[in-house]
Amino acid sequence: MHTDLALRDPTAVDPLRALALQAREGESVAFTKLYERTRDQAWRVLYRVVGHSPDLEDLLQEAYLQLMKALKSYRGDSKVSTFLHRVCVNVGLMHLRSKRRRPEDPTDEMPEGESPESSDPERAAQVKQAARLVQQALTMMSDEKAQVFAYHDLLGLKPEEISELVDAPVNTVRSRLNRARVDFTAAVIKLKGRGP
Amino acid sequence: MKHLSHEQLWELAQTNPPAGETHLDSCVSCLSALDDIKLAQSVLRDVPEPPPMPMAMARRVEGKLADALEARQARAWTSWFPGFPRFAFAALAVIALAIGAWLLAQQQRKPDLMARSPIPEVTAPVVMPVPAAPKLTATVASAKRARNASGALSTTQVLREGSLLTTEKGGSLWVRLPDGSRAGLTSASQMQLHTLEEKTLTLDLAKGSVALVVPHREDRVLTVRAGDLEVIDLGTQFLVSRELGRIVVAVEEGSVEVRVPGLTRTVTAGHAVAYHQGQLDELQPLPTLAPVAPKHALSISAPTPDLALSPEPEPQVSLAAAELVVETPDEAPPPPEVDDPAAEWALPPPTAPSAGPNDPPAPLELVVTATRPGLSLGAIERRVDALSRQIRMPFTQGGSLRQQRAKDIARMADGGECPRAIDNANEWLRYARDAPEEAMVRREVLFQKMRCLRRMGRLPEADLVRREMEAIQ
Repeated sequence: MHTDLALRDPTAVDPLRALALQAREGESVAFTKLYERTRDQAWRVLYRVVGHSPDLEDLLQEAYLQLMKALKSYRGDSKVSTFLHRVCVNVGLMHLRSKRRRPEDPTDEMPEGESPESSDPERAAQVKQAARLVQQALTMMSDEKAQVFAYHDLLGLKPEEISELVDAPVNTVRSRLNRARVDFTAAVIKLKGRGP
Repeated sequence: MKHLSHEQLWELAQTNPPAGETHLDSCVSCLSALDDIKLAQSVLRDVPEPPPMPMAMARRVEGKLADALEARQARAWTSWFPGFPRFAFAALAVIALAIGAWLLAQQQRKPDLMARSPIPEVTAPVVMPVPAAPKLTATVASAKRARNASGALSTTQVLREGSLLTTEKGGSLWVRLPDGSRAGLTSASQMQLHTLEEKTLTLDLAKGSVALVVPHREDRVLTVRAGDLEVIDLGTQFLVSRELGRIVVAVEEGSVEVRVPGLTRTVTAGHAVAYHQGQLDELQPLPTLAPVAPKHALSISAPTPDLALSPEPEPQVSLAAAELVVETPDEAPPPPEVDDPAAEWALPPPTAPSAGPNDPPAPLELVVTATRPGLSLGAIERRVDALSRQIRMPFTQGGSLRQQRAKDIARMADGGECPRAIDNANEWLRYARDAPEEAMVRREVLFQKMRCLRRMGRLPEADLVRREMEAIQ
């Protein structure tokens, strides 16, 4: 899988860099522009991690508030999308974990007919169950593994790109991914009621 | 016997059937592990692709972030003196608190003084949570062969947010939205009342056509979404129609903002656009829709391609060829509110002025009675048909097997099954056929592939597909 993130390309000019630097200096217009240009990407990342949830709007807001804080230490030497990816995945995973800790909230369910594109109810149920299984499996993994797994198998990032996001060598990322997949498989089997 | 590692099995499970590994033929343990991995991978494949971000949500978050930025700037009041570090303020505050506490302790040692001036009890401030936007409801104004998940719909039935409304073939439905707007669903259509809030009304059109009569209000955003396309009301009467491979937006009055990936365009009265194969094209405008004859009215007019609305009436009217437009009660929109600014669209047609000596004769019209004014959803369907005829559609009724496969790919992409759609598109694109429609259908398949790649965030690949698409004439 490929991605729009060109994290490893040092020659690539980050078009968001100037905006991020201006936003760091407190220019609200620059931050608003940064939001406008990156919100779709943030939305995609959050949606892939937490699925269709009524909390998506709050999570998106939380991600940008965290980005706002993170920008204070931004020096312009890494890509803004790297920041954003990391923040969104962390916000998404934290949400899943906190949701697991609190009792099941019936209003968290996807409202009836939420995906009008899918006119096949059986298929819609299958998709919904898959999303739920992945979210539950993510909460059963350690933070490190869940992050790498989400980056690679949900967002389609390459190990080289993930290496920059998690600040670890590529080989470490690969072995962490492999262990995460073992855990994910075990979690799915358990959740599907086929395992021990 | 050395078993295969989980990593090797994960790779093998991605090829179907697993090939090149003879060990699997004889090892039950590895085969069982492979089955587990396949199950896990199938779960991953079924994870839905993200739909486009709702514009209303994007705006709400933008507003909240602007508030947060403002608050942050207000907090940074010490920045007027950058040389004075904040920890100094903190230290001063701690000293002040210590002095205050010492004074307080001194006072407490004097009971008579305390009795005269008791220390007021300080209660913690109550922080009220920001209430969620209250959910509103819509009402069925008229329904004919229309249903939601609970069953057939009837007049005055209350509809909640999330309701999925479906009209059967020959059916129709008028819904009054909480802000007084009216939405008319034509035959064989499906729409969801996605958001019903005071400031946000969002309707998701899954298929078919919907007509909107919307009074313009600055304090709320009304959006109609149809796949990748969003129509944002700017105070108007408009219709949106969605079928596999094309979306049409026609504006009767006022204007709307049409958003598709990478492009926003304002469409004004009398204009129509089609979103087709990733392009937003202007369609040839049709005469503005006017209200049809009232209930129980029999209107006989000169036949026109779509409606009896031609600005150039035929001089000779043949009754044999004339078109009958009979408004049935269920097709008519709900009677407008007295103070409803959109009521104009549903007013009865103005009385034809007396023809001058040189004027062409007006269409023959016979009004029997006039009890309720109305806008015909049937007329809207014919209008959509007329507009759709301007678009070269890749799919035709009863097309070849290859066309059917392309249609399936479009359905998969529409249903959010992007990995499957991409796989099928790649397979489809491997072959070519010498047929007149081949280029058109190929463009469509490429478009669906590009759309899916974009939704999956694989933008560089999507860009390559776009170029490939543009190279096809």
